[in-house]
Amino acid sequence: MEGLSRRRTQLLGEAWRELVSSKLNLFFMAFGLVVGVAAMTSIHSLGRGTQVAIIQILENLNFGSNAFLILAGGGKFFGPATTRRDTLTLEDMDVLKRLEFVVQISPVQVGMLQVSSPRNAEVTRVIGAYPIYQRINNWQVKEGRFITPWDLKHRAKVCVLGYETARRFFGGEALGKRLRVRGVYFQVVGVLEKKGVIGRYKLDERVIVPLTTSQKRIFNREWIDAAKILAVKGTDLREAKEVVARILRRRHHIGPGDVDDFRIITPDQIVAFLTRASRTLTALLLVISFITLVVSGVIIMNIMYAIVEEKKRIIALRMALGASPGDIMIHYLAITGGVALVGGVGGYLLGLLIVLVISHFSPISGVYDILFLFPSLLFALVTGLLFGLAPARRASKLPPAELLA
Amino acid sequence: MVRKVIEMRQVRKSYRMGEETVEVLKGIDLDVQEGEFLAIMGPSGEGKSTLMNVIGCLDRPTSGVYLLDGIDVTRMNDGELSRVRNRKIGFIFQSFHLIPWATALENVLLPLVYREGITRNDVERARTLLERLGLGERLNFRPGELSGGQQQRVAIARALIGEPSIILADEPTGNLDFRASEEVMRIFQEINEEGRTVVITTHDREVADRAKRIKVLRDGRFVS
Repeated sequence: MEGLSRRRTQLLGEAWRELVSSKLNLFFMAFGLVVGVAAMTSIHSLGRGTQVAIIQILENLNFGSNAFLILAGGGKFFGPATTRRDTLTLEDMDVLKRLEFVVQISPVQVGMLQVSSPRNAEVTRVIGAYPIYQRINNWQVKEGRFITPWDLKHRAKVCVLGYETARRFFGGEALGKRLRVRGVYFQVVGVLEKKGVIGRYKLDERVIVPLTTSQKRIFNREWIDAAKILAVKGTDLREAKEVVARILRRRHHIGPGDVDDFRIITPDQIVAFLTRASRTLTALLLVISFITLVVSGVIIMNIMYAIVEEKKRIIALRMALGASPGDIMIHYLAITGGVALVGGVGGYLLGLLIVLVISHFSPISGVYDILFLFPSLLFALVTGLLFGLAPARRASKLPPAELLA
Repeated sequence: MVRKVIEMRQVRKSYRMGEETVEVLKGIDLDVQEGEFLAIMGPSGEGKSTLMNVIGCLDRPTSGVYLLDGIDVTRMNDGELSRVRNRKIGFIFQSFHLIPWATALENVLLPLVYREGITRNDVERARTLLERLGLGERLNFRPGELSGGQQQRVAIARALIGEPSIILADEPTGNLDFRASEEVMRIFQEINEEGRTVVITTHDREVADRAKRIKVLRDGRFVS
């Protein structure tokens, strides 16, 4: 038994020595594998990194597994509304609030409006909100305070700014200053902490005012644009969505067969939407990587055929000295196996490098762990052994007598 | 009683060349006893190499009986034949056939890789063999760094390492100059005197005269 494993180890040693005796062959055979494996792993890593980042931001916004969004106006997910939008009201929210699974509702009015300070003027997202907006979005106030029930009741002309907006309009010293929105002056009472970006959606650029004030002074309408609903933990959101939809359809007098004039969006849909684009890209690049691997497999096969041809007298010699056809087969499969090992590890390391570079120079950070090494090696090994099989077979069938003369 | 290493009766070997069948060996009878030193002579193209391939189990005869160490090898499959070659035969070739990227020591040990693997004891034996053949200083040289005579001595050590029943040398001096040929033949005589069975082929009368017995092959038959 000991002799057998010793023999096997030494057979592999023979193959390895033959492989490294021609570094150029090794390089060309491993090169394709390195590129293919590196492309595959880095793409996969960046895709996963993006997804993790999105989920993190959503969780950071308290938009976890028990929250959902109602948008005014029917239509496609995240597209423009294709029905009337002026039907979603605070009265609807009062009805929904009586549902058992509803913990909190945060209704909002939203618009992109011209906003100005002595220092800056630009179109900015203006949001009319309830005090609960802060807690339901898990958003801490960095300075000052948030909108209060008193502000809401008295239609106070106060506003809370996103971190970036405060910086741009007042250079950071925003508390107590005045901001003009549609000709109305608002006093800055608070600045929110920094949140970051989801795709192109800049969370830190916003002006928040009391909803009652925005209804009367800014938008001049009663209906709301959206509402975020926080449900009891463990609620089946799909069921909750249906209940809410039934109530809204009845209240909005939508007949059977007519389309909704609202949309209900759950966090998993947002993640799906935001990752769909990157997933298409990932699929495309996986196909390209796969082609790369097939191409490198064919390269390996051709070089192996050339090696077998070039080394046929040495193969015949090995046979004369007692190598069986099986030993020769193992010898040449071990050579492609060695190539795959080099290519797989090299591809993994190159992929790691690519991800580190991309993570350093762009906001995407890849998820790259040591576990990728195993699929990398597996794929390289499968490619190497599959395409190495035919050349190894040819080697094992060579007639020693004719070649040694 | 002296043991017979080779026993051949009416061994024929023919090759198909398109439509025609060419018979290269036309009924060979050959007995080689343990401890013999036989030279097979004859000009090239008379079947010497084919006979050596059959004796060395690199090729099977078309018909006839061949017993090697008393075992019928004519009906063995490729795997069994490689085992026989590994254990019973030590090959030496005209063009040495050493592995160019391996050292002298590694080349000598190669047959044992295909047996049960090399042990530490084997490495010692290989070292001793090479030292005996005057290559003690060149254990880690590669074939490219050795002269023809030295390469052939490495090949002889490789043939001896597995303690085979028979040493088969096909034109072992064909690529060597006079002095190196003398040296190699002296080694053959020496190892034969230690009791090893040696069979060589040559077209050179002087080389053949170093053997104890000469047989001449002409047109696929022994004529003497």
